Amino acid sequence: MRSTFFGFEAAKTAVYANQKSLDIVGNNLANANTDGYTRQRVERAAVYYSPSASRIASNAVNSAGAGVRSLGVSQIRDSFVDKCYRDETSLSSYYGKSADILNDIIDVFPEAADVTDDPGLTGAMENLYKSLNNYIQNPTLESEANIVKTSFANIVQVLKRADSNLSVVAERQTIDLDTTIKRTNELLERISYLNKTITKDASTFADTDGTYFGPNELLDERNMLLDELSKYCDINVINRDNLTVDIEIGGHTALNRDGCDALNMTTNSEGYVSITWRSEGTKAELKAGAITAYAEVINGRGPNVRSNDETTSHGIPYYRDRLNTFAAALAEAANNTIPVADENGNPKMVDGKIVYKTLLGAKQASGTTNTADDISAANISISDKWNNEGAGYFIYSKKENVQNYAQQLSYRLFNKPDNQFNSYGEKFEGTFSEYVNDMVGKAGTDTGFNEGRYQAAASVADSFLTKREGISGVQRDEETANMLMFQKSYQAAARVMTVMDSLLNTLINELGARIS
Amino acid sequence: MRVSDKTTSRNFLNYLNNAKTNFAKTNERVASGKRFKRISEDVSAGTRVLRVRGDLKKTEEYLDNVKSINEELSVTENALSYVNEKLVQAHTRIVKGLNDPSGASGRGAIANEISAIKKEILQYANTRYNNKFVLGGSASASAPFTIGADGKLLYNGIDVDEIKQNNDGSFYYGTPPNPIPMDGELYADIGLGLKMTGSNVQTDTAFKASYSGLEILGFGKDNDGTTKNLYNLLSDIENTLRSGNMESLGKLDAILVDSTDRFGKFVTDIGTKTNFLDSIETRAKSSIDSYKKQINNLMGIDDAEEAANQTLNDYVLKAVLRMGSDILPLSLMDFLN
Repeated sequence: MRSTFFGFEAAKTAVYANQKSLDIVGNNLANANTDGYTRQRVERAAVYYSPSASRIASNAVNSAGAGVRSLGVSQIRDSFVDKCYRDETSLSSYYGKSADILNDIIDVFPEAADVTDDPGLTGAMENLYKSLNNYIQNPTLESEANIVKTSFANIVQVLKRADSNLSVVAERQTIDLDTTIKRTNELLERISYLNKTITKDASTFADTDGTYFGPNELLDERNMLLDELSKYCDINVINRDNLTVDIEIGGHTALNRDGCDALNMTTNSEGYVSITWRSEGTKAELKAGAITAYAEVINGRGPNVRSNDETTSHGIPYYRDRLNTFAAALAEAANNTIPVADENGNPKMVDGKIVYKTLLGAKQASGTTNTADDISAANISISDKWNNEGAGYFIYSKKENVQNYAQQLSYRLFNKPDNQFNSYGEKFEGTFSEYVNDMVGKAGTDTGFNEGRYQAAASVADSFLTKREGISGVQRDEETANMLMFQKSYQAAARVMTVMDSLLNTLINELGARIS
Repeated sequence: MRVSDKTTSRNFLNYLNNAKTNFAKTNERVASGKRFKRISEDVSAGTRVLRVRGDLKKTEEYLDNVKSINEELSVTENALSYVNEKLVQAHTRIVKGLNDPSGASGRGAIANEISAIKKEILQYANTRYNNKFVLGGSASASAPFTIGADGKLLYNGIDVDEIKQNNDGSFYYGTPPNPIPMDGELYADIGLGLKMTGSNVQTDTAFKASYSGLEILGFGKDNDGTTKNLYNLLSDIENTLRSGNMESLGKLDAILVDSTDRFGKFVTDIGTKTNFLDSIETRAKSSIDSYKKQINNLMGIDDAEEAANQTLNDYVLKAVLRMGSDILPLSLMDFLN
């Protein structure tokens, strides 16, 4: 037997469902431009009444047509597209950040920042060539010797400046890395906190059949945090049934229901950074994202890797090695070409070996120079001997039988095709200018490569973003169509009520009146 | 495909950004005349530019060297021509002295003339160009030729009569042999592919830019003890004139004539060298042009192409901006009552 007011219930559920749906349409339109907002919709199902569950036997026909049930408000999102987008974001921010820092390195070499510009090592070497050649024509002239000395001083300055600029780049990147790591840890904490809030709220949103409708706004916020996190490191997000997420970073569980781990950065005395997990102290094996880019450039020593802290990419330490190798080779050539003259003007010999004049030395903290220490770009200096004895110390003394030592030096620095530039692992053979070209060429190639990869990855990430917006973004036409539909449905439900009312009127008022 | 409103506006901003970037890049290329600046923009062309630039700077230096050697040679040529003239003049005076009937007083006057000529020759031998003594080997600081206490000519402080030559052309004095100070040979790199063996330049790979005064004015003594140096020879002639030993004077004059002939060859030699340097100068100039052209090919812009780009960029930018006024087109919403 059907109850008297049964039909009202169906109309009432429809009125409610359409009202709620219109609310959500409004919400979607209101948040069309809100960052991170995912479009929502009211999930509905037809009410099913089970006669078998009733205490008394009843006919299924009587309980059919019970109306619509609003299950909850869901958001439309594709977690696979999210994963693709985040993976590409990690890659693109890795390449983008690498290219940024490598561009900073390029700026250290003026000839690479503007290939037609004169300053830089190339320009300084060109000046030395010119002054040496002028000196060769006037080898007993103090003023020409002085210009040669000035040219050497200029190269020394260029090397020192390049080295100190590399240090500045390294310091700045280390500070940036530290900030990024702090932000990463903050994101992990916030996501962990959101996870907890979402679990609590999700249980109140849980449907009787166990389907969870989460607090959509919190889910949106968490998704935005996850997007940001993917810029800094490669993340693997694992969605759990209770709407929480676990996060794996480089194979390490960085966040789960119990809480989150954090990254820890330490810098050693040589400026190398190491990134570890705070919980276990193990090395964080990151593969993409900005943090990896920072760490690779700060620690990258190319083929000259000497310890576990260092990586094989061409980073700041690599270019510093290259400058040091250049400085050492320059000093080696300058300090082993011009013999000290004995009293007869012949090369002075000690233990069967020619004693050479020391033109370049390593500057000590005390302010004096020596050649006992390794000469590097940071400490290379005009030797005290050359400074004290005046520019002419370079080649001549009045008693000396002038040989073509200046020509020999010029030959060695500018013509000799097989100078050896040996670093810890890397070897180069060629002229000094070929060495500089190779060095800046490498910086150019690395930067160009990373810029290219960045553009490719950014474009792929962008296409995933478009795809995601295609799924989750708000579209006015669609919302308007829905609005019209819900409005009409509402009107229809109201009409059903009116009809019901009229039926009942017949039943209650008119039917009785006729009897009396 | 479902296009959300956000995608539409995001895409529009991307288009606008691209259009503006292209606009700015083309303008920069047109303004600078260079296709790129940073090496990372075109590594292969960039490194080649650096290499060609190195060659260009070197060739400019070769050209500088050639020019300055040429100028120096012309100064040397002048000095040697004057000396040559003076030697011829000396010979004429000696011939006059040999036949002079006026006796000791006449010869004394000629001896005085020879003495004056000798001093002039000394001055020319110490000619300078750009602070450098052209006949002084590598000396720049002090005059190579001076007169010793005994009136003998010294070269960089060494008595020229005591100087001997090795088989390799270098000079020495005394026993054991000592090298002559500041008499090293100077070679200038003029782009002949300079090579060195130890501290010695391979002579065919560079240009010898120094003249040893010893070679030109002569050095040492011949077997019978007569000086081979022109200055000392003139001193001997002067003394002989004063002493009146006519036989000896005749002999010395014959030596002077021989030496003057030999001397003349140096003057001609300079002419040959100048011709050679002129051809090198032309070659260096054309190399410089060619290097500059190469650099321009590697990083210069194609004016016509960039002008077309500029027009196109302008058009695209305007079109995108126009599009901006209705990036969100009419929607269903606009048709509701």
